[in-house]
Amino acid sequence: MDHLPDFPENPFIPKPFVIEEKKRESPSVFSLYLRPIDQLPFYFLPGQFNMLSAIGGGEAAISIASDPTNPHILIHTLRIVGNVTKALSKLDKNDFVLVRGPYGRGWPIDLVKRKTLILVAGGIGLPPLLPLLYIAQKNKGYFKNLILLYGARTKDDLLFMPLLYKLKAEQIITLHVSVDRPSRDWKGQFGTVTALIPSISFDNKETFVFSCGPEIMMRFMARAFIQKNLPKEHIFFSMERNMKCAIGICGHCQLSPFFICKDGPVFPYEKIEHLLTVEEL
Amino acid sequence: MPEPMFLEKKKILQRQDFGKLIDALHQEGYTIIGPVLSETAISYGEIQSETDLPIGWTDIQEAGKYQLKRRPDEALFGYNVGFQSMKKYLFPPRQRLFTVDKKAGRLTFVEENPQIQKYAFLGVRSCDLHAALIQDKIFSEGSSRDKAYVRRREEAFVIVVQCGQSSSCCFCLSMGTGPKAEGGFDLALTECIDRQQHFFLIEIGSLRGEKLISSLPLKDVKEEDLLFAARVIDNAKAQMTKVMDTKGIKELFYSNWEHPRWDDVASRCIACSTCTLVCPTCFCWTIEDSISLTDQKAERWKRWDFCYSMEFSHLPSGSVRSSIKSRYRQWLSHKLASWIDQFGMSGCVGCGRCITWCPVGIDITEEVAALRVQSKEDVS
Repeated sequence: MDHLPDFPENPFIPKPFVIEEKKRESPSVFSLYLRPIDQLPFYFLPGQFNMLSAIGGGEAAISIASDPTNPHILIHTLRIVGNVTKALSKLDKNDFVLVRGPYGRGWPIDLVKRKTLILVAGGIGLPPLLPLLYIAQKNKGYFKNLILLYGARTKDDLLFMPLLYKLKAEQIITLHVSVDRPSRDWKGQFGTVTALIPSISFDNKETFVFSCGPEIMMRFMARAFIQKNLPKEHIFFSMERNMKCAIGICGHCQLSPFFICKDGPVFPYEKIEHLLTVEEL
Repeated sequence: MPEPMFLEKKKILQRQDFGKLIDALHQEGYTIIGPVLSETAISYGEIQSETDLPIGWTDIQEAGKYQLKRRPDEALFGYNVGFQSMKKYLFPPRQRLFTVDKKAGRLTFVEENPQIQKYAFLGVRSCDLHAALIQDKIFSEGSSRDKAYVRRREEAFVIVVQCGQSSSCCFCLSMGTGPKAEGGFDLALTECIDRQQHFFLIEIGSLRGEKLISSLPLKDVKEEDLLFAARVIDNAKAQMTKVMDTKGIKELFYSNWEHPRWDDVASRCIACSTCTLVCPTCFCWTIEDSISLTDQKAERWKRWDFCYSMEFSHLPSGSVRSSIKSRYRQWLSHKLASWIDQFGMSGCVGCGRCITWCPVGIDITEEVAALRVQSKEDVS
């Protein structure tokens, strides 16, 4: 096993994975199906992230989009937005991807057991919520109800629609999809995803909301739920900031007292609400 | 690391025997880092012999100003803090993390296993010692422990020189970090100089320190020596005019994100990052990859990073902090407020470097005082 790191206790030595499959999800989004070279299972909690890199291509924090009950295949879904994701997008089947993780605090899944869970996803915010869909699929009855509100800019930006329609057909999820800019062939809802909220009915005491998407979307989403008397402490955000170390010592991901990488990325809305309204904090 | 039982042990070393302390450190295999006179300032550098020290020199410091000046005497340590601290030795500005080699379809990782220099730091001020204790908290604890840092720190032999003077930028009294170091050193010297005598009161802070000086010609301490040394420290206290009011400082920042003073300071700050470079506690760093032209070999480096750059908070949607106002606010509020939540202590030791070396003379104690003055909007 001479290809394994000599100093596994060093937190910055990544683990090599091999691309087993690369899938295009939309014009700018692709998924990597990764298998660890050492064949050891990769365990993680829904909502956690990894630091990913193509060799020599820099590292970026990417949330884990795979099925937590299958630790033998690691899936990451990425949007090509910068140098790191561009370098990763150039890789192909059998190429190496360097991975370190998993990092961060994920979704509080014990809290929502046998409860109604509403997922609110905006654009590339869907992948970090996918592990929860897989849990619902594998473990029917884990949630009392699972509702997904999913918004994207256009129809072409919607991700994983075959999976979502399948889960809907199997009555595992209730699905509401909305696009900001409808094309002529779009027959569904349009407008922001937050506009879907007023029409949904739920039992306040037994309902929780997990959200991932643009910060502004999440803030309006929270406001809409609070207007419907959902207790603030039932709302959770997955936050995004620039990250370099992922363990709270490089300083990049600070949000005032918090290091998003280790105190988050998932936060109770209550804990960060006052910080999100301060511009450029 | 200090051992409390040695703290009460004190000895006297005469000025003419000072060179023997340097010899003893060399004999123990230490590379001595101490104050040296560079062209325009007192910086940190390697000390081969006592003549490398800035003998007879001092400095005048004000916001945005540093000037060397001759002293009327031949004091070895008669100056205030220079722009450097132990930081660049314990937490080097650039370090390779690993090299990865791709050969015959396999990856080999070579972790950087740096040769740890055995440093003896001579002339460490109390504020800088406290700064090292703050960085210890960040780099030596828990799962994020930086092995190389911990080894460097364990090897480091720390000789404090207690302050006998203060510059107009010093405010360690406000931060509770000086001017006298009470522990955390191997040895602490108080330089006692007047027309009749020139000697050092040595406080022993560790077994290692006690062993090192065992071969030196030391004298026992007399009551008058202790009084002399106490006057030296008192002089530093008496000269310290700058004050920062730290009462409720965390809440002050947390409740003043939109204070008009932030616009005011942003109109002066040029986002040059100098304050972060000279700050002995600033710890932010980033990762950089490089790759060989043949794609067979890549390296990953960590290097100091600065919260004043746009890239620091870069996200696909743009920089989180695109205005200088927000970046200055991040630096100062982190240092003085959120640091307390993150690490249980302030990130400021009152060394005053950020004030002296700021090219536009921004004084953080003035900024804090201005935040305390309520804006008209707040009053209503």
